[in-house]
Amino acid sequence: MSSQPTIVIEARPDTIGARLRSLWQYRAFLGFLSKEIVMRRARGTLLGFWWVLLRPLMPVVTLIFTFTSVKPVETSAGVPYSVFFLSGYITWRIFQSALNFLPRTMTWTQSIMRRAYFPRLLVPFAGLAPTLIEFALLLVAFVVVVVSAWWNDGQLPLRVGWQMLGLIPAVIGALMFALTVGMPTAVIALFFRDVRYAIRSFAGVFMFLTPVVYPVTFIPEQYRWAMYAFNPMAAIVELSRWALIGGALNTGYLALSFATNIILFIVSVVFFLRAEAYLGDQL
Amino acid sequence: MTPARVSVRNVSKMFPRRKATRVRGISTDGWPALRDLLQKTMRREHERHTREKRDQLWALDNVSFDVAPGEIVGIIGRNGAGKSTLLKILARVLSPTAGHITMHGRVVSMLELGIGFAPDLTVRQNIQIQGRLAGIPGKRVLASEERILELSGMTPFRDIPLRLCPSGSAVQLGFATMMGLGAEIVLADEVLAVGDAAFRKMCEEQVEAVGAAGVSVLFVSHDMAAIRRICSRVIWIDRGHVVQIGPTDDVIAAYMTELLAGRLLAPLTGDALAASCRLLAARLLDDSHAPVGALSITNAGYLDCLVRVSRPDVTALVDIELWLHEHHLFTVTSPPMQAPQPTTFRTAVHLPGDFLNEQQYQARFRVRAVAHYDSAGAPAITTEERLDFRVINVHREQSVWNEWTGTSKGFISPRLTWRLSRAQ
Repeated sequence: MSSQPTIVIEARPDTIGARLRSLWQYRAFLGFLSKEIVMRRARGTLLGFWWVLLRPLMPVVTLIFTFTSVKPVETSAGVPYSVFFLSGYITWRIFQSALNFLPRTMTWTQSIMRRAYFPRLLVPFAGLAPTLIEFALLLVAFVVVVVSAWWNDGQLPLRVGWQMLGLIPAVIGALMFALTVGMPTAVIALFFRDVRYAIRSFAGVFMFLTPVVYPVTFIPEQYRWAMYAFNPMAAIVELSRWALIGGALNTGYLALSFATNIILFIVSVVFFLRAEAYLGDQL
Repeated sequence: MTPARVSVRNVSKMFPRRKATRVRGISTDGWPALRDLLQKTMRREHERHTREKRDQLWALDNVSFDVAPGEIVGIIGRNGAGKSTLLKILARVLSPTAGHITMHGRVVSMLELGIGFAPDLTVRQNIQIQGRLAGIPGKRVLASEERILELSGMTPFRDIPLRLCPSGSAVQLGFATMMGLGAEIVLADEVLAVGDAAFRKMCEEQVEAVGAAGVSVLFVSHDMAAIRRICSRVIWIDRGHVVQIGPTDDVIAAYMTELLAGRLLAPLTGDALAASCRLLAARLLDDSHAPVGALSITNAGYLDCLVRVSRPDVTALVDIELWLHEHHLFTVTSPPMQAPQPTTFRTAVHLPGDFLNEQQYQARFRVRAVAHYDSAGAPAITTEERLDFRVINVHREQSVWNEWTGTSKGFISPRLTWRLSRAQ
């Protein structure tokens, strides 16, 4: 009898610590959920899994075409626009794509949640799986663009070196901020589906408030602090761009952005863990 | 005495009762639920819920019981009694409002049988998924795969996508997975309600076999015969309360007695009561019982209606009001209609000839549903049916008014007897 697990169910919700422990116990579930969520989109479509690849590439092509041929944007670093754009966009897309998926993952996995217990926090984490696939794909697209620019101009528009590791904190920062916004959104989306549409439009608008398609120098000096203070994604995108193609990096703003990001992330996780106990009634 | 495998103590579950609301086309159904969730989430301490019964549905109220290892316990009760809520709490899908539960061992639950299988994946992949859902490590699932395939009788289909398997496969697979995974506690909600006789027999044998092997089974079913065959003890729940726990035959006997007496049905109020009796049709018949749109003034007719009474604890009465323009002429009431089985009654009131006038009348049929146990309660009125009909004078010479020309005066024109004598 002692070898068997003992489950105690109390009316009082489990402590945050107990919830995090059960998250660890159920870690094997993450792979299954991720697969479910990725394949969920492919089911019943003609192109199947290829949609995961197609979706992020369409805005890339549109935006690059617009800002090179229709309305050219000067990049200060002297690199081709496509390289400049993608160096920031690959990180930005993590945020946008995660916001696209997270509110829907809860409804997708509803039938599983109705039938079995597992820590619900695994759902938003598993919801990042399609986002990570998109990221990997955009990374490949970035390499292709860099190589073609190298071929054309004869010089590598990339700054090879240790600072390229800066991409890792940039990606982690983007994932965290996506979860920060995405987790409460996913909870609310169970009550109001409107949130799904609203958050997608919001992410689309938010992109233009972040120096993704244009260099940060487009924003007048005296207003830049506001962008960094209220938009953690701005510094993250800048970090990603700095890591890949170089340029200036304001470490003060970067630290501010990451500090806000971490605090908001913890608040968001705690909110989700506390709400988790009451989600059952809504499923 | 062996320690209990499952011990449930004073468990209650409350659902707030919410009404659907809609403000200018904007559905606000989600607001109260969301507000509720946010309030609970933001609160520092988990407060005790006030026992104010208004706007609250106590799906479970102070339920306590124990299940010993190897015991097969049946849970019975009418629909909505709280059986499924209890299983969902044990499976940790819902959290209780009060009370606590201790379970020793791994729990496998089958709450909605066959749902959650992926039709595009093969049988073996589906077994893996089910095992993961039950919280059983992949290796253990692999180890019991053969047994599960054998139990479900799907060994030849192991690598075929589930959607190409014979229909009913998902159900069989679900049951076999639940039994074959080797958990110590099995929660089964209405597993025997589906499948053919052979499958059900297999299910019952399996439940008995795992019970003998020391697995505790909690088993919700409406199938009293199955419960009687496999359960050693039965818990009868009604309206969230445990009514009786005891040996299978005793509890089932008591339950059946109550069920047949019709006392077990939920008290009906308002819409539900009104829905239990329905007016199916209202017609005007002539004196040879053929449906007509008008009556001849001299001929008799019937106001006929069909009433469906779908519950044994409700009596239906039909009121027919006769109206002429804005004037309510009279009301007649049908005999009470009541039956142990859902029944469609036909009732008709006779309209004598030479009674109504040459007018456009309206008969308003209304079904009154009266709940038995609550004779003081207000009866529910179902939506009324209005039947317009004319009374015409086809044989003017036969009419009492045959010396009149044109439409006669008055609401009705009964043939009354006159006495005539010479006054002294």
